[in-house]
Amino acid sequence: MVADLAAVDAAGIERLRGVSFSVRAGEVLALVGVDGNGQAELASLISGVDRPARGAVFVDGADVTAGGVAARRAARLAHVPADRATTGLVADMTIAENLALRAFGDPPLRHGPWLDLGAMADLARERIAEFAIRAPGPETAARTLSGGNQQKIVLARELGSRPAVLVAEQPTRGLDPGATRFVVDQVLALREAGGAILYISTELEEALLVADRIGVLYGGRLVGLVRREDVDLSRLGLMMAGALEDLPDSAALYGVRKS
Amino acid sequence: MTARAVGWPVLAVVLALALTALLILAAGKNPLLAYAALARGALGSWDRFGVGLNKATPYVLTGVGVALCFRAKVINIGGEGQIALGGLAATWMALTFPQAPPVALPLLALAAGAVAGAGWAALAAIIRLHRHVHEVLVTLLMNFVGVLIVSEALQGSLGEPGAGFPQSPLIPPAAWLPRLPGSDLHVGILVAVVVVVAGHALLWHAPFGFRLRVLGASVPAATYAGISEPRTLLGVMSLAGALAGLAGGVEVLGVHYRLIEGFSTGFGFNAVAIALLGALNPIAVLPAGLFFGFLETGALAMQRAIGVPSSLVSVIQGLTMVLILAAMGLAARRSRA
Repeated sequence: MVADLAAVDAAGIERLRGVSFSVRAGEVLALVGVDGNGQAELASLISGVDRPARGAVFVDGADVTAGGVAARRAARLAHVPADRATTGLVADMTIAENLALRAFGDPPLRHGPWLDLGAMADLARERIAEFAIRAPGPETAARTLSGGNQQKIVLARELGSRPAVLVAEQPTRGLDPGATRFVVDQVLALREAGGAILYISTELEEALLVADRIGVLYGGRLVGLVRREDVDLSRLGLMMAGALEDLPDSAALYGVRKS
Repeated sequence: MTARAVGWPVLAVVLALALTALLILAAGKNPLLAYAALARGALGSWDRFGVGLNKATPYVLTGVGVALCFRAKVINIGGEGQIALGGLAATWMALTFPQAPPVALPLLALAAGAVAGAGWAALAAIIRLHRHVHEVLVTLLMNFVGVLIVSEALQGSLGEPGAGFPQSPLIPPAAWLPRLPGSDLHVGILVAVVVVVAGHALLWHAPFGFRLRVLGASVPAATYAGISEPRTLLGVMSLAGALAGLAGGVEVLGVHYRLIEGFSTGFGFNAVAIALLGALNPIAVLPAGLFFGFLETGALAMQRAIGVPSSLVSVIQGLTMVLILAAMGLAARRSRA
């Protein structure tokens, strides 16, 4: 899914130094690590928000690197961004508009040259019910909702269309236990439905809860990749601190190439 | 549209009128009589009413474009230059092709105005995108250049020989906008109404308007949604420029029948005020533009009848603006809190 990705930030500092891995259908790969070790850069490269300095992103074997966000959407790659307040949602827009945030330009939400506001409202009512969003109705502004309900809007938009791949960045950050449980259940449901999920989290326990495999990012590199059942917490901790590397040698076994 | 969104501008207008009334009172005149004279001057006869509509037309046309730009947080204050060049292009077209079919000629001239305005605004957008100079600066400074280009043309090839004033020759009557018989009212206001409705549809019912609103609310969200900031910026600037250029063309073909130096001084900045007074809603830009238009047509009548200076109208406009901005600032602070 990801080969040799590298990113250089605006200040010329290398944020991501050749990260390669793959996620299979029906699998959750959790990437853990201390915040600031390349998670945000990796997510924005995979989701098409930024272009990599080198490397490529593949979805289902097809190279989508050059196409930006549009190519990712065409490849049915969904993305739950880390910052729901300014990126995942537009606080001043309604629930219906936020649910249409990424699909407004495509049928059925677009009808000829116009937005189909009726279809947007219908979709919103459907998703509000399906994802148990607590809100008066589709025309409610997103800003008036609780953090949990806001995140449910993001999840409803990204998961509602049954994506093939999901990149979830810190999807439970700032949520209460009930909302956290809801998010985790949704991610697991997508896995059951055959989705490939990259779950980026700073919460180790949560990662252990959802993951089939766990990868560790440190200093812009993937320094560890272990199966859930082989996890040794103290070794994982050392990897997160950059004191240990544990990458499988066989690319065939894990679909991974050492960088 | 919430009741509050309508409430603020109305409150601002009422307060501005009240504050100006104090000024009139301080000058020893009766504010009620002054406002009555103002209203009579603006609405007292069909003729005056028509003049007010004509005045409001370029404001509304330009204001809709400014409102769309501001929705995307693209601070286009280049209306002055875009209007001026629109007027220039429309005049040039009408003077160069006088033999064109009568109905086609005004349409061609207006189209030329729109294209010129769009080009001027697009140039500002390109400078913004490729040279990273903020659009406030680019559009503001390009106003001076645009107005000077008009002066240059009037001093040179487009000027009327021996006129003694920088103006073009009279354009052929075939290019004049049709008027309501027996009045000065031309069809421009109908164009403005169409633009208002189209602007509303675009903003609230079209994908382009959705892009504008998302981009204006949050650049990261727009990027995440796959909305291209450069393309949207270029698009909305060109559109606003086209509307401003159209306004310049309408002013030339409907009111003056020639290009006159300074024919649109202040129009572009008034349009910014009107867009804000209309709370950046194209539909509301219409009443806001009419308000400004009628204020200006009533001003001289007020001066004649009561003896207070007509420039008090500028005070009303300015105070309205200050109060609107204060309300917006308060609202922004409250939503951040």
